[in-house]
Amino acid sequence: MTTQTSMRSYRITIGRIFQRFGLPMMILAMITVFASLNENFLGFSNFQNVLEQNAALAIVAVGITFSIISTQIDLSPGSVIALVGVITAIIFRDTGNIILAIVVGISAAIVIGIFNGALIAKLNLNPVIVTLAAYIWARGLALALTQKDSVIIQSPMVGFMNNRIGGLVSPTMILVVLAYLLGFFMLNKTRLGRYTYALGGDEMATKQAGVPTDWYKIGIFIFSGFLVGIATLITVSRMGAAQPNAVYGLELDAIASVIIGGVSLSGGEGRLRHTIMGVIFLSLLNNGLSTLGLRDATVLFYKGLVILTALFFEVSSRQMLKDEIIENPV
Amino acid sequence: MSEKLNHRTILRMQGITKRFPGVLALDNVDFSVRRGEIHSLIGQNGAGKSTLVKILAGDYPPTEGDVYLDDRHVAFGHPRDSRAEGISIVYQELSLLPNLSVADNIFLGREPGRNFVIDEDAILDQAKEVLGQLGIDNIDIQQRVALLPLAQQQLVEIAKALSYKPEILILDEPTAALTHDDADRLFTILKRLKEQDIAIIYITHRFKEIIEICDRGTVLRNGKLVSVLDIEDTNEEELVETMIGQEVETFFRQEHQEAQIKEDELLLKVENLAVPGKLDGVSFELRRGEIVGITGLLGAGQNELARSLFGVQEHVTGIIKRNGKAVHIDSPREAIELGICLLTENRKEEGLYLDLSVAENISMPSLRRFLSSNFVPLISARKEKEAAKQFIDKVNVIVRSAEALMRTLSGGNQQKSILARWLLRDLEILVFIEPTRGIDVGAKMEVYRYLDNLAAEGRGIIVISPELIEILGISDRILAMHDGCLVQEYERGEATEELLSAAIQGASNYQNRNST
Amino acid sequence: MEAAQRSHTADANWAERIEKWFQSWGTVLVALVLFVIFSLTAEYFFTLQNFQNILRQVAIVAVVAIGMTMVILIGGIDLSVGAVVLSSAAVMNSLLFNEVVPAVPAIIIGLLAAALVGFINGLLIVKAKISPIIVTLGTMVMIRGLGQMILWINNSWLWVRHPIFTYIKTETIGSIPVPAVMMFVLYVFAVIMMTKTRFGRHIYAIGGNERAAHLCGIPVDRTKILVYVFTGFISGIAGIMMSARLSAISPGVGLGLEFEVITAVILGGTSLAGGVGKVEKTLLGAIIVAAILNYMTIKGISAHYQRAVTGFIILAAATLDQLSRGRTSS
Repeated sequence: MTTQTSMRSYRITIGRIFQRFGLPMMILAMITVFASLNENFLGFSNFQNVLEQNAALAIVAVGITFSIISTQIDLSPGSVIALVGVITAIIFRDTGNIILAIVVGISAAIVIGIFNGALIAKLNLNPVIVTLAAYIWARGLALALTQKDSVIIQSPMVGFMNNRIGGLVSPTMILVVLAYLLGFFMLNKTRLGRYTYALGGDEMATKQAGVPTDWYKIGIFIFSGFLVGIATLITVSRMGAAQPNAVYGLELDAIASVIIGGVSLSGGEGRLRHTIMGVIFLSLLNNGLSTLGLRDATVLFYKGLVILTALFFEVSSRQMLKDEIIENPV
Repeated sequence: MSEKLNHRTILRMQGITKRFPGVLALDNVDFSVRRGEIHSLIGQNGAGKSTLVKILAGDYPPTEGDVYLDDRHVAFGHPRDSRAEGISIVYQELSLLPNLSVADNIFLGREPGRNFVIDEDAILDQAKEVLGQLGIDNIDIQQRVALLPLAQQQLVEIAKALSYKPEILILDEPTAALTHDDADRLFTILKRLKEQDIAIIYITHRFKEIIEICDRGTVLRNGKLVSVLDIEDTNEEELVETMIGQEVETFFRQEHQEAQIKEDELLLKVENLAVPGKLDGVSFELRRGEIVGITGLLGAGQNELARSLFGVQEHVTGIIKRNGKAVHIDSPREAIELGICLLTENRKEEGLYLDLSVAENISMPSLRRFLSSNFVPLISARKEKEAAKQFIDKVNVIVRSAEALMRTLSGGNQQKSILARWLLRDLEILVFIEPTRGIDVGAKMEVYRYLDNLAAEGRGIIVISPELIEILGISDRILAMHDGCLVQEYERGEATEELLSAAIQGASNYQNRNST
Repeated sequence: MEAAQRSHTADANWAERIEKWFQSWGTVLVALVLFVIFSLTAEYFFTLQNFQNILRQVAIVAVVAIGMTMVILIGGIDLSVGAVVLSSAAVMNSLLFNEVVPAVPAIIIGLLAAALVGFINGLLIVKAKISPIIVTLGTMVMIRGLGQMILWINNSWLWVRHPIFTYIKTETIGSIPVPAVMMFVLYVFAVIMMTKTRFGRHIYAIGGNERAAHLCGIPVDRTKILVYVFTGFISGIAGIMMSARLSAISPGVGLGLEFEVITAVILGGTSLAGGVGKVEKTLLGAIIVAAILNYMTIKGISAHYQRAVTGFIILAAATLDQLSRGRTSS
């Protein structure tokens, strides 16, 4: 009997250690590895690079956080960014009005969000199916509209977004910070945030309490649609063009960031600070791998490996902690 | 039986009939409640209490009949409507969100604040106020509900219901998980509410409680109204008899076969079975031919005990001996191989394959028996269907064909199908948790008779049930549990409901003389 | 409400019967309708050669869809199949090209490698309890990287040169192309397995109610892992067919395959929630999708628009499915 209890405490201690220190330790390990392989890694300019290359990821991750907490997983962001980018570029190309183009772009992203949200909330379709379909059709439309070519945007906006004021921060970085502040506010202070947790916790009970869950489900998609719109703006500015093949795999990165950061896929819990940690992890991974100058294939392989390993540790440690609750039923 | 028009009457339900596909749940029932009284709804599982109360709560409308509040006709389309009319209900299954705090749970859906933003401080203040009014001061309102003990969660649930300022409060088995002290505290709160002229509808099958706090009681049987009683004019035995419609002795003794208990054939011997926090060193034996009944309050450990015998309980320590040999049961597979089967209380969640046919549901653990031949591992649909039909008839599942989808069966028939499943599997030891839950009174008799037969055929049966009269009626031996311990053991005829009730509540004079 | 109650019993039987019929035969009905429309509006559609084309097109997707159906039936999903097709084809052809081993062992090694990936998926999903979407997204990335690395070693792409592959590519058995014959044979095998073996029955049980399956003594973990292994294996077989179809294996092989496969499965009426679905209907779903894409090609619609249409097909199929079950009202 004593060996059983000590095994259990052993597991719980390990679980606690991973939960609290696991991710920071992995980040530290990664920084060490990359720094040793590439002397430029720890430089200030590289640090700015990391922020800017992954700005879109960071912003999309905020929306994905809401999605995962409310158990409405969203697989569409990457494809929607491609499509909205193309729409924005085409409107600018045809009207010369950058403001109009941006507004239409963000609106398009929101409309797609409403479309997906409505199908899920009103027709009761599975979020995986609906957003998977969007993943497919949005990308398809983006490619079809441009016949696979990129649409270049020649606008001062591009330069503006990437210009670093005082050599330090660019509007892009500011947008990222604003997105997180907005996210914090929405998640913690508003009804939308509260019901995001409620939907993930127990949808039936939430409905019984009289909350119009359908509208809030759609609301979550509107919010993340807006964020996707902003991310599109950033993406398109960075490349100076709208590429229909842009940001392939962004949704994997975003979902992985959020989960590795500690938000549970079963929903109902998690905080934005978890997402931030996860985004930092993935940004460093992306950046580090690219500075190593490896072949695409090798990059893919190692990236997948690292993500799976990180997920393994994150999920296992949470499993171990479940033991704690069983052990000490109050 | 009609209610004299009493000026204190706040609720009048008249001629309520409710039909579900294949089932007549309520048949022309009248029910009325007065202000400031605690009115008990009495009846066995399946008598219609939940249905009546759910109609009142707005979960669904009656098929026929009317509801009057203060002589005003009302019709509810949604729980929201009944709440708005001053009716609050606390179900046995908690509807709290585990990851939200106590305060947030109480005000879910009605958070104070300007449209968009939530006023955190207001929530905390109001929550404190609500709990204060109930005299509850030991719950941290910022604590996540998941981390509270069950008893406190129930109190939060009640606080939530009261925060809607109802005129009628409905409580469904509120003391199922509460200790004696907690229950007393609850009763104090209820008495305070009485003084505020709030009407309380109280559902319980603890007759002691009914006698202690209720003013009147309405007895239902099989969906029909039997009588309306003044509690102070009656006693427990009369209540029970009214509820089941016959004298207690005859109900269970009907066709009861002389127990042929093989004293020396020990099917199962359990020594010091323990699960941290739930079960504290329980030992007992099961002999061939006997029915052992285990009962206790919710959370006394009886479910964990049953699960340990079937390999679905974690962190189990202790020794289990099957036919004298020590064994490790780590999974249902191993248990089944040892000849043990378990019928859980959550038939729907843990037993039914709604999208498979009845035959497929029944045959699932026994597929090996239906292979075409020894060489070809293909299932013979014919053999399967024949066997399933046999047991469908034995257990009297009412269904058009064995190929019908399980989804289309009524709740009671679904329960019976699970029973058929394990009977088909034909194991030596059967562990049943609440075997007659959700089954109407007529069918209950069949189940008891079946259990009797099974025992007579030489099996060992363990029945776990919170219904004391059921346990008293069918068991050859009764184990009373309290707080994880086996506190008392009785042979048939030794126990009464009073003794049992006291034992499971942990009354100190009744500590088991044999406990370690 | 009351009027609805009274007429309920009268209408119930009609509505019930139509619902039930549609659930079983809806897909067939859709197929027939489309078939007629296509034949009438495109001359070339109704020709033997075109049907052979469609069969050749559909073979690979349909074969992989067998595994995907099983995975979705147990409540999971496998996004790595495309990557596995690529990698197993890469392994097989690399061994053959470099004349390391003769044909049969090369193919067996490729199949084993594919099954191994399935095993890894299974372990991570079942034992480490990480969500299937995330695990298979991770393996998708990783194994695609691995496959591409193998190609790179062989100078970026591999020529497929072996009589076996040529046979599969060009021959027909009684005017049915060989790949289609393989497909039909595999489907017969699959249907027998799902309806007549304990393994198949267990899959339906686990998908329908995993907890109940466990309580019936079904080896849940083992069965689930086997399903993923089988899916890997069958992706390996698809790798063989893919090698036959193309004259060279390039890094982009199999990209997006998983989504075509999932479309076929959903169109065939399998529910993403698990427990409901039939393998033979997946075949029908795959043929419908292939026919639609084929028709669009005949009509000159660009491949990109075809892609977008695929996304909408998924939505349409899912909506029809929900409507036919009467579950659109929450």
